[in-house]
Amino acid sequence: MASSQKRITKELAEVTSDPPVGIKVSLVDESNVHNWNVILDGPPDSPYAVCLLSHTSSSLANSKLIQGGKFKLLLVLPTEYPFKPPVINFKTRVYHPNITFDDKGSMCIGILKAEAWKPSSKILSVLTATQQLLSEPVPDDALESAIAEKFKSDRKDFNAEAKKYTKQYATGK
Amino acid sequence: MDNNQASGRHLDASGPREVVYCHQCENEWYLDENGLECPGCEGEVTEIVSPESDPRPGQTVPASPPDLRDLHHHNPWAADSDVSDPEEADIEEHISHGPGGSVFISQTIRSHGRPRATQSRRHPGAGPGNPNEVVRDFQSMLGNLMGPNLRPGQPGRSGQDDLFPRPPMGLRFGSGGVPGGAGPGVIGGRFTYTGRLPPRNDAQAPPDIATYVSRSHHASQSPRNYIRWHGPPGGAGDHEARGGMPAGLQALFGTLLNPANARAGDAVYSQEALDQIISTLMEQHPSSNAPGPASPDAIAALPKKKLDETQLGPEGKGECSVCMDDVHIGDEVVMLPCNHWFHEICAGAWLGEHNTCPICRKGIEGNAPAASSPSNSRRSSQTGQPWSSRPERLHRRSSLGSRLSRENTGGRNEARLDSIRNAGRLTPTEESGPRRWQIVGDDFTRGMPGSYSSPRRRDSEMSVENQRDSRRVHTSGSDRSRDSRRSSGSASGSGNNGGTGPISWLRDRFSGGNDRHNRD
Repeated sequence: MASSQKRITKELAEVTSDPPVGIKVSLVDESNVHNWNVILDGPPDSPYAVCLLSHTSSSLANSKLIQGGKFKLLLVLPTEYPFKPPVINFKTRVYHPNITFDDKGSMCIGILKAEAWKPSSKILSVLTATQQLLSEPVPDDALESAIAEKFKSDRKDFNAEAKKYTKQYATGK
Repeated sequence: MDNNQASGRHLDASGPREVVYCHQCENEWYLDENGLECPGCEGEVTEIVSPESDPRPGQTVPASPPDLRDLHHHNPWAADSDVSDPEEADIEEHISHGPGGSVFISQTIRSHGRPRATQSRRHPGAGPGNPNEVVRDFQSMLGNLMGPNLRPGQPGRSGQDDLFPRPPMGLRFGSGGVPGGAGPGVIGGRFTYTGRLPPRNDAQAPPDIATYVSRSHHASQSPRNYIRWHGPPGGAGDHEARGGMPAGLQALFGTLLNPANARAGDAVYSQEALDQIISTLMEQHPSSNAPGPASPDAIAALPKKKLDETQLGPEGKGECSVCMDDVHIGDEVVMLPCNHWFHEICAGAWLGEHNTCPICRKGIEGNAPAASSPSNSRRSSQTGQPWSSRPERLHRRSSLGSRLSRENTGGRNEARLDSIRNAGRLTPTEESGPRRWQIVGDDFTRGMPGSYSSPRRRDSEMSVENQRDSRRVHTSGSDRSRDSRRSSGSASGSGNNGGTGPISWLRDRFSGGNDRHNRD
């Protein structure tokens, strides 16, 4: 559908020309606007940010010590877009109640559900919602019930685990 | 035979005094002297020796084939408990002690890609071949019985994520191992086998394991009893009634999947099989939770307008929020009841699938959105519209063949919701307001759960719905708006009608506790 490509191109231009904080977008393949690589920084106030001091040497010592983990996502826009919602998967493992802790990295987010999607929702809003989800998990709508349980019952432990996995998987390597 | 020689070493069991033999320390004594407990090791694993069944080494057992003699010492449990099995904890799950001292073994068996190759783990200390042979016979028999039922392993699946962990015991059953057996050779596949063994070290029990084995051997009439509960369902000639939960599963999935891709005999005892079925269901209902489509008449009836400053502001520029193309003063757009406007094509494309405004999700055919949104799980049903009368409905049905399937999905969900409401009200004379796009046609997917992800929209008893559907056919639709009003008045709190029957059962399984939670 030509109209979908047009809109996607437009949205891509918007996102790349004025990228929101902590979100980087690029095309997987320049000739195909339907597949986007997204790199999402873990929000600084979340366990998805890591202290980099211990990992790197002096170069970062005088810049910020805390930096978001780099989470890679794949965003696929169906040909029916915007009449069908985009599909987002985390390529980086995330310890999060709403993201499956496997190599699929499926995410459960309200705005993308079929019954909630509307064509006026933009990719940008999807990405910011994803970022928001990292800051604020929704344990009642969990995909990983064990993680959700931990999030609810033992926040400290949850944070520690999430940090651990962020360090392990999401330090931008 | 070596009976004489043996009696030199052993107490005479054929005499009037009963001899007791300890399986643990191989001690033997007279029953009247020391009782049943072993005086040597104080073990209770003892057995009264009789001439027919003499567990002692070197004794001949006339009743059992010579091959089986070694089985007197063969202890299938001990064989592996010696090995430090990293998953020893799992054994607890699989060997359980039933009433009356009987033992249940449940294990998952996977056969590998070589039909004739029998994978047998060696039992330490077992005589060369003997126990294995017996086991092999038994497994061949099982393999033949179950062979036709085995589903070939699925390509691309890892095969490691069993519902049940590795077989806790050393026995592995190949399939199709008996030469000339009836079952076709099956390559790959797995099945779960639940065996019921007589208690092995119990004074009241059948005296030794040979008894068990020989019983199993002539069990050609009974192995079904052994495998019935956990064998893969739906094999050729295996259609006799099955009881219990797996039978329900089989029937259920058979029903659900048969018309789609004829996958009878699907075993769903592993996570992957279940996953696959769930994905199938989800694929077949990609948007079953989304609002249903608006009628073309309603879309066509939307007012068209040329844009002016009121919509675009002083700059005279704006964009259609569907295609994000710029629009200018003078461009023609359609105006939705909520005052949002779009290109006609853009609005039509969306409304043809979902009756909601692309911006605010308000339905174009009523005051309420046409279907539930996350914040509005119990949809209000005030959808009566004067212009959606019965003839239009019929017209739509006949003229929109190509969209029938999609409509059917939406309409079916509406019908389910209505039927839930109606059932909740328990006023059988009251028709629900029939949805405008209700299609009375039937298809096999009708009975499927609406969707995996959102349990709250799932329907209640199918019988209720079918009954209502059929009644709806014969009911004139003229009183529709009145009915709708009535149903909207009493709809509250009626959504939690718990259903019965297999669909509900499946739904409950899949949705866990959420379902009830959400609907209450």
